[in-house]
Amino acid sequence: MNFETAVANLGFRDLAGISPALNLILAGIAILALDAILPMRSKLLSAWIALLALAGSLFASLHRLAVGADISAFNHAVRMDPFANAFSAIICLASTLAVLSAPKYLKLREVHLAEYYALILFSVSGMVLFGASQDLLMMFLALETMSIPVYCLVGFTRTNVYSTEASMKYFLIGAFAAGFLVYGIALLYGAAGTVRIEDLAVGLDRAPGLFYSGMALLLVGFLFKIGAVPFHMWTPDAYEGAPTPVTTFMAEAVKAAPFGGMLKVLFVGFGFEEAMQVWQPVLIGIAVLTMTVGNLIALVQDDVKRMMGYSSIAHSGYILVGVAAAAELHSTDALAAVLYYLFIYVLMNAGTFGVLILFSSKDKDANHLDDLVGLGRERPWAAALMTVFLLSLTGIPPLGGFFGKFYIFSYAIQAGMIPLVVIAILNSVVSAYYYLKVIGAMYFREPEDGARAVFYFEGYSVFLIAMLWLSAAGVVYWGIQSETPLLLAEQATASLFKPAP
Amino acid sequence: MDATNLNILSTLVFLPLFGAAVVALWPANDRSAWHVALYFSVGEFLLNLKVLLGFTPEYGGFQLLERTEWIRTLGVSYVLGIDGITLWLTLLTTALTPIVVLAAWGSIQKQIRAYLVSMLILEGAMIGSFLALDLILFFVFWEMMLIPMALLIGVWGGPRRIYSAVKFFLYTAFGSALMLVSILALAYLNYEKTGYLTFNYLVLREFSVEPGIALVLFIGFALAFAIKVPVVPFHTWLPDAHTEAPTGGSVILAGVLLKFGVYGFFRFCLPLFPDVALRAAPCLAGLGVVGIVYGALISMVQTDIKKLVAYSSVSHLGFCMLGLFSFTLEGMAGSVYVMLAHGVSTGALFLLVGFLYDRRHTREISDFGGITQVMPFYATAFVFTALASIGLPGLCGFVGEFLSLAGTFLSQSLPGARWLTAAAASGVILSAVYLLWMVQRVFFGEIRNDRNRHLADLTTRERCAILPLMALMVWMGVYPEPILSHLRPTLESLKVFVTIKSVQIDAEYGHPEPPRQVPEPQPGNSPEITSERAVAYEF
Repeated sequence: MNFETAVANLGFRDLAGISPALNLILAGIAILALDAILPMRSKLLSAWIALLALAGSLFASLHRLAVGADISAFNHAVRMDPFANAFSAIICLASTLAVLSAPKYLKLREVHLAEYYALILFSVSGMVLFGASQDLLMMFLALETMSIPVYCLVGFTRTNVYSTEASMKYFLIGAFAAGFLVYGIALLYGAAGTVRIEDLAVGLDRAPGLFYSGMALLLVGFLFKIGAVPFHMWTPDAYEGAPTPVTTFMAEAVKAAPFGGMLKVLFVGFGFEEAMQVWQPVLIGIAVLTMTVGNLIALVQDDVKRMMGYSSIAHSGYILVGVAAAAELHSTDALAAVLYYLFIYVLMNAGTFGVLILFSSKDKDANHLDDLVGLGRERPWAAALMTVFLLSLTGIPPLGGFFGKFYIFSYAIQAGMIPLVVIAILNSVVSAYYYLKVIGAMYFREPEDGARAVFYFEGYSVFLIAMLWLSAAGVVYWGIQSETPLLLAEQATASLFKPAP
Repeated sequence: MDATNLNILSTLVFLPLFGAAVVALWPANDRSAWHVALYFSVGEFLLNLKVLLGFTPEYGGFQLLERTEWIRTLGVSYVLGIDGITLWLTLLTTALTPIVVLAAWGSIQKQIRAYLVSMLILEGAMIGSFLALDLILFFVFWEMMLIPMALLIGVWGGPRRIYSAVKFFLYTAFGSALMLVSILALAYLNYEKTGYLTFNYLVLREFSVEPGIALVLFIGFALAFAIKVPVVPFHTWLPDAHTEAPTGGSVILAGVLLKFGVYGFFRFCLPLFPDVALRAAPCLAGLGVVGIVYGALISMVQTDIKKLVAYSSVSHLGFCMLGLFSFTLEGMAGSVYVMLAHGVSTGALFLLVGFLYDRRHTREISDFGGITQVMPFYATAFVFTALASIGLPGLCGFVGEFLSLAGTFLSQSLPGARWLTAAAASGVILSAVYLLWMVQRVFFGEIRNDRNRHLADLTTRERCAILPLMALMVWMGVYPEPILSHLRPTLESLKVFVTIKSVQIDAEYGHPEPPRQVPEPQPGNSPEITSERAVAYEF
């Protein structure tokens, strides 16, 4: 097919196929236009537009997931199969929560700009396409669409030194990672003669050296993005420096999205057989390192945001355990456990950062452990919500975090990886210590001078409260009723190996 | 077996949790919230009495079973059932909770509502773990207990509460983490063999694990339970947790939470891995004896009354371990009975220490002396409870300790059973030494400290809390038969089940050494086992 026919073949079907992403892009453009026309009123309005667009995409993805729609578009460059839809749903949910947390905080910092929402929407559209890409070039484009707005967002409070520093750091390291990725893509193309993910495996016979080095570089690129050790250095700095709503966005959406592409390349591109010999042992090693390093460094953090940065590294490790188990078991059901984990992870992270935002004031974030002392007594409901999220992150039943770990670990046990599970489970005991430190600050400690601590709900907004309660309800409900999302996820991952329509 | 129409066990589990929600959302003031909590805990106790009435004492298997699917994909189900052991342990729990709630008012100075909520959630989780017959459901409740308990210690505790709460949490979480691995591994081994993934206890206990693997899995379970009991090298969290916990927390911790360790050995370690458990019995019984003597010796040198009582728990729980692993009916009955008696008497001791602490804000033995003169009722109650705890015949402590010592003495499976008995019996004497010595220093003699001259005796509310416990001590000491008669069939069928299964495992996998003193299965009891298995296969 030459270029002209390829272009001529593009049509409404393709656009309708990627409508969850397209919808977001259009909404983003609408927000920018609106900001130009009505600069005074556009702020809150654009928040609403963003929410509507995200909700639209969320429901579209869920609907497609439920009916099992499988659509190929743009000459098979994009495939909105249940797998992509599941990721799209998780990401849209994550971004909805992140957008809900933003308006009041930004207003307090006097950076409540419409561009914020537009950037988020553009980034999310990239994420949606990332999980849907069927060829490596598309994947790279989607990755950049996803990353570049986030670099801007991290530096959104531009008068804040930490924010700009974090943005710069994140940008440099992100560019570095993208470099690896492109280089890997180039080598793989050299080996396989194609960039289509399904056909990559032929490169293994044609030019194994090229193939392996390309694959290694690609994997490094992904590991950068998910913040796995030893490519994790940017995470705590970026998390700490970014405005908290952006951290929320990064910790959930930006965290979950790369897994979509990564799973696709690892499982579809290289297949189970190759997996066992080549990347799975490496991944196990990285999982162990990631969990252990993340948890151990988190132990000594006093800044909750930074601590959550390390905790997110540790959680990447748990997820990698699930990925390794799926490779060992040759089972897409085990991958469903990974998807469920991501879903719950999004909810509990959103909530944790949400509570921090709630008590951020005009000049100061409530990020330090000492800022939370006495919260349990003064603001019992906020503290109770925070406790639910932290306990879920620890993996205490009957909350979602426990079932996420339970599924991943039980598949790993089924795969016979008992030492790995023991390491992972001991790691989650270690993690209990630092999550408990936060709970301890809220409940156990009292202000030192004997005075009562004072907490103003400066960050209070209806959006934020809705976000907190929704996440908490989700963590509890989808924890106890974990089977429904799990079955959906199983449908989604099963589509990974079906041939494209 | 068809009592499911009432779902009484589910109600028993969820009533306190519902009560917690009601108390949390209760619109009126704290005092009325306290009343609500009290009503809920008393209601729970009455409901539990109804369970007692519906219980068939002659049947040794699980009764009032309830079952429904939960997570079908991974074979997790919701199964509740009750047998003789858990019947009494739940009754202990539901009896202690109203007393603790009653004692809370006036003793808890801040955030009493949150305290009551934690207490009720704790109660629900405890009942849930006792009744759960699905390993994952059990684990869910087991872990759920940790949080309210850690909060009770950390928020309402003494000066070193944060350290103690975190230590308690991490210790127990560490143990249960390994237990989760064992649970998963067990279920998947069963899955490999039968092609059918389930966490149902009634099914899994029919499954024999190969001895080498069973040892590893057993260690996973046993470590979690040994930490909870606590068996001696793992006991260091207990004195810290007890000393810092508020009165109510200590009562529940000593009264019920510690029992989960022994209960775990009863429910999981023995039937799931009978061969390993029997072979490990000398070791665990030995640790029990070490605990008895060591706990008693350490108690003797304590200067803090509460710490003394805490170490005495280590000593008492040693009797439970010893009795259980003597593997005789008397010993096992004694083990359960010590659990109940210890729950009542040590719970009461902690309550009494708490009353004193509320008045004087110190627990140092040297700060007191001659308290009898100012608080006669209190002194009577304390001496009475101390005697019950020592094991004076006619009070509750005696029956259990006697039974477990007698059982150990008769034990055929424990090597050197008589020496163990002799060593353990010294614990009885030592307990008299440390408790009576403490009683003498605190209550008798002259009032040396002027601040003790005007202590008020117990209030009506406090008397209401302590009197039922004293009545229980007498009843359990004088007429233990109702309790024992409900226990016996369960213990018999447990013993037969374990014996048969270990013989089967030895036959199936061969035994590295000639079978040592494994009693022959008693044919008279086998019909019970078969009906038991029939129940298991219904699932």
